Amino acid sequence: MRVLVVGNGPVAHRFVGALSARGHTDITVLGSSRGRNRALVPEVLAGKLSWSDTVLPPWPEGVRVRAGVSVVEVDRRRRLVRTDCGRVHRYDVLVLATGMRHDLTTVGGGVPSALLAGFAGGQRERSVPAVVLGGGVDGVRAAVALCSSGRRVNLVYRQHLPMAGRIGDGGGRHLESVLRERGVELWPHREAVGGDGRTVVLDDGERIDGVGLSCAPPVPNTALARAAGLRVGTGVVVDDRLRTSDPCVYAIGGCAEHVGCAVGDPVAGRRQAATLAAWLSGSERSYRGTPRVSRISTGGVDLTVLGPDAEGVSGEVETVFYRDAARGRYAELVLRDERLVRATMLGLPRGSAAVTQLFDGDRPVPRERLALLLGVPARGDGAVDAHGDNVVCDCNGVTEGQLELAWLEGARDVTALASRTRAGTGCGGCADEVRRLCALFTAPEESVWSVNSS
Amino acid sequence: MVRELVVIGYGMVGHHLVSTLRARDDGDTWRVTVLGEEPCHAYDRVGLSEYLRGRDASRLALGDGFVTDPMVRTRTGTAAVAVDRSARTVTTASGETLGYDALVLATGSRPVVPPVEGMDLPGCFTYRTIEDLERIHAAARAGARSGVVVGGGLLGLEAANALRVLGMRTHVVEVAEHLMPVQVDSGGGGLLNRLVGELGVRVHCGDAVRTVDGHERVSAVSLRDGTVVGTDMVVLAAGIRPRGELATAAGLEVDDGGGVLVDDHCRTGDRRVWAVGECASVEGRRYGLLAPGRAMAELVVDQLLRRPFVAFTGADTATKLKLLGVDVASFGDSHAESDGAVELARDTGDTYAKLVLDSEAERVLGGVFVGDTAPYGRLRALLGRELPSSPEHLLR
Repeated sequence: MRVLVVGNGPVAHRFVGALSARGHTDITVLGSSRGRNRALVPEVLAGKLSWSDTVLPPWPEGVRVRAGVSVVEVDRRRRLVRTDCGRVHRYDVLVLATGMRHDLTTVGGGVPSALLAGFAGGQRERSVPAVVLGGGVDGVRAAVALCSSGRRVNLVYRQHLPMAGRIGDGGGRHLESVLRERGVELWPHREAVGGDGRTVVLDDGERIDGVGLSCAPPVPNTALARAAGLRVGTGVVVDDRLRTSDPCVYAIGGCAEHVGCAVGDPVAGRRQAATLAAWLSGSERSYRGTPRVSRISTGGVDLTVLGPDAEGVSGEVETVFYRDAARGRYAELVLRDERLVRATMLGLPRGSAAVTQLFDGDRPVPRERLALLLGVPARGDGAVDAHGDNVVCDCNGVTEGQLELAWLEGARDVTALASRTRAGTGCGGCADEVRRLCALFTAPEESVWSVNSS
Repeated sequence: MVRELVVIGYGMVGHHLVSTLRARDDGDTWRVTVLGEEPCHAYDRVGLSEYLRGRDASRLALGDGFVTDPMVRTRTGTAAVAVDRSARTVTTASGETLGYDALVLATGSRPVVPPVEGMDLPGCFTYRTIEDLERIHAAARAGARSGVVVGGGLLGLEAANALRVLGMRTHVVEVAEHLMPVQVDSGGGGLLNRLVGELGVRVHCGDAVRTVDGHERVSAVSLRDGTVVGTDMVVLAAGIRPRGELATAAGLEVDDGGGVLVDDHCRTGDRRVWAVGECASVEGRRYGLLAPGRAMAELVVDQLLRRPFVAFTGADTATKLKLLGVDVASFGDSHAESDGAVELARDTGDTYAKLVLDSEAERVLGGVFVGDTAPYGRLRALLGRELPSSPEHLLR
């Protein structure tokens, strides 16, 4: 089976790696760019990596890779593609991994890669302030990363709070104070109208010194698919098999649009790559969509957003809020029937990891939400509260609530419970029940930590 | 030898002071004269809105007015107009002079009247005394169909309830973004606004009255945001100002708002003069709730009787009530203003519960409950103490 991949970014790389590992030998990759991992850009902005460090690792042995080559036409009838240097490549299976258009552009000109090289530059370049345009997750991430490299940073956005659409006002206010504390200068309710590489001009006439960096939401590269007559919405529309409207053509990563995930979600792209490789190798695994995850983990800011935007939730839900203004921590968990619908967590790395696992696995959230968020063991008062008044030991009139209290006060096994409450010291008929409850009281402390299977 | 105590003010705190003194003064060492400005004996001002249901003042009366107690003289309808601290006398409006060995100021407060054009038109009422309620009731009987309450705090909501009992279309105007801004936080406030709105009360938060309009009487109220509300009456519940004029005239210190400055024993600068209740400014802080006032009264009584006492520690500002049919409760640091305080809140759409904990999330500092106040009792008992189990367990 001749597999032809258009695109040489990280999703294509993941796909080819998985496919090759499953024994496929006839793989060709045609990519127009150098082949970089865009997810590492924040580290470049933070000054921790150089631009050359973002180049992808080597491709597997035996894979034919042509970089700097543009595919100009897909001929689906003849099952071939034509490149800009006139060559023709035939395929049995075509995989589009054309990604998204540059999400970092300068205002006032400048090629992005040269710009980024400048941003990652030495001390002299770092004295030039940055003006980041866009208050979504990409803009906030870029601002935080640049700030951590010692640069003076401004963040300009149209809304009243950063990431307001994604995390709502509550989360937005906390994020705003975390950004301010890090020294990011905030310019809400504004947008840029021009710039010349040294100054950025805003719509209210304000001028900010610095190089403008535009972080508008990236846009899927779908021109090729559209020209080939494939179904395209915002991205190239694919089904649960990641197949486009042509059964021999697939699409994965930033250019693809699946009903179950937000377009351009990087986590989704990697999952899709793995799923497609398995599918093409005969597995029955299908892609069901990836719940949306937005992460910023750079420059000392830890933000995780799971699920739809704050306004995208309706119906009967329970919301749990946690606020620790002094430490810059905030969490908002939206639950339906004990399961997460969406979540925002700021400054809570351990809790975020645990909650993300629960979200990924669509598992019920334990009752001790505070302990979960803080990443500490639960206090062990379990799920038996609703039955607190149930009498367990009839002979001595001991209720579940009394046993629970005794357990909390240190009676940790059946003997201690019996000695403390007299439960089980009559006819002994409740012994099994006392034993069961004792195990139940103990269990919650472990359950918070046993969520790491995936 | 019997000594003379004069208490100026016969409200709930003045009454509590006298009744506590009489209960603890086994040797009858103090003879008491209470001067009350209002024509009636002390009554339950907190339950005032219920007065409109039966208009039976005797139902609200506190105690029996000490009529059978030979050691207490109650002088209703008698205002004190001056205090002479060197002669140790109090002069009343009728010219009478009373000598004292000890003097307690329990003069309470007066309603704040915002300096808004039209506030003096007929149809504007304060909301504090039985007389105020009688006037409001008369206006309703004379045909008033709707009323605007200025102020959405505890008092404003009580006034709104009174208007509802009278069958009037009711509006509440409040400057803060939500009702009961002192006791309830913004999370609970949104729900409170909604629940009160569902009862048919029109809530205008984040707004204020610009003018009261009308020719010979109130006909409308214009709000700052431009809305004009047609109305037959305006009820003021926009705050209270302490009545410290007697103290000022007698050369005693008052705070910026006019509250009588006292230490944590409720003593003024004159060792024979105390101040309690809403008129007192304990080390610069004033309290508008009944519980702190009663605590102050008891501590003065213990000093008068030379019994051991505990200094005033800053009030128990816990509140639990059903206002307009909505359950609301709040205690401690409900706005998480303590250094490093953390908050855990749960909003189910119909109920809101928030726990304020210390920075280690171990000690209870405060709480707010709207819509369901069941957890309030056990959590309030834990104020300042360590959580015995998870907060979720306690909030269930």
